[in-house]
Amino acid sequence: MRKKHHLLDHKWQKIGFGIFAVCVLLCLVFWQAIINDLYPHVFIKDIQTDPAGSGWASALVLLFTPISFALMALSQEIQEDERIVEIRHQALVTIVIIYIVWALLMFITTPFLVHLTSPTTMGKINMILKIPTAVPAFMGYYLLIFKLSLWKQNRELSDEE
Amino acid sequence: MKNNLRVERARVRMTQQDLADKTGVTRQTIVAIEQGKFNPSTVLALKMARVFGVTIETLFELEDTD
Repeated sequence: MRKKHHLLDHKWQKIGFGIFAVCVLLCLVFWQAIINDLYPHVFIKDIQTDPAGSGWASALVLLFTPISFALMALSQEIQEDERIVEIRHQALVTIVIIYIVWALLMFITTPFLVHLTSPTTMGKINMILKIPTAVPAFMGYYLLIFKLSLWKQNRELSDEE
Repeated sequence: MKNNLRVERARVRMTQQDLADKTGVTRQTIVAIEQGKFNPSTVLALKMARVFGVTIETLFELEDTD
């Protein structure tokens, strides 16, 4: 009896990782322009606009980072078995709990911060609070927790023979 | 859940990797089952029983705490 699953082949994980590596490289090269493009209302006064104009870099990073996360999150490991499926489930549950706690934290702290800080500082705090709740970040955290758990468990279990 | 996987494996002189290959899982999964850190599905338990030529009850036993 073969269990059906909807994960992509392992080669897609490699392709996703390759795309992610290119995105990281673009971020390193054009970090100034990318931050400025993504958050002009917050950082426009702090960071000088790149005169060469690198709008294409931020557009590529914005488009391809979520795609690379999705490819890595939705493709199977070299040998996918039921223990790995369980680790996937645990990673998902952990992420959902973290998001619920984060949402509660935002709900509780935002009204206080509005009264205590200037609008510019509030803008920055708001951005910092919102970044982790974006959908690509969700996939990124899931990947991080899943891969770390898998690596940790495999390391613990690999010594014995 | 208690298991006699290690004993059965020693009986037929089979490595963890051999058992993993025959049941279609990773070696780490076999180690996790032997150490009682992971409970296999019914399908995997049946596959293991078939490899050793024994019944599932020979391989796995329920404990009072289960």
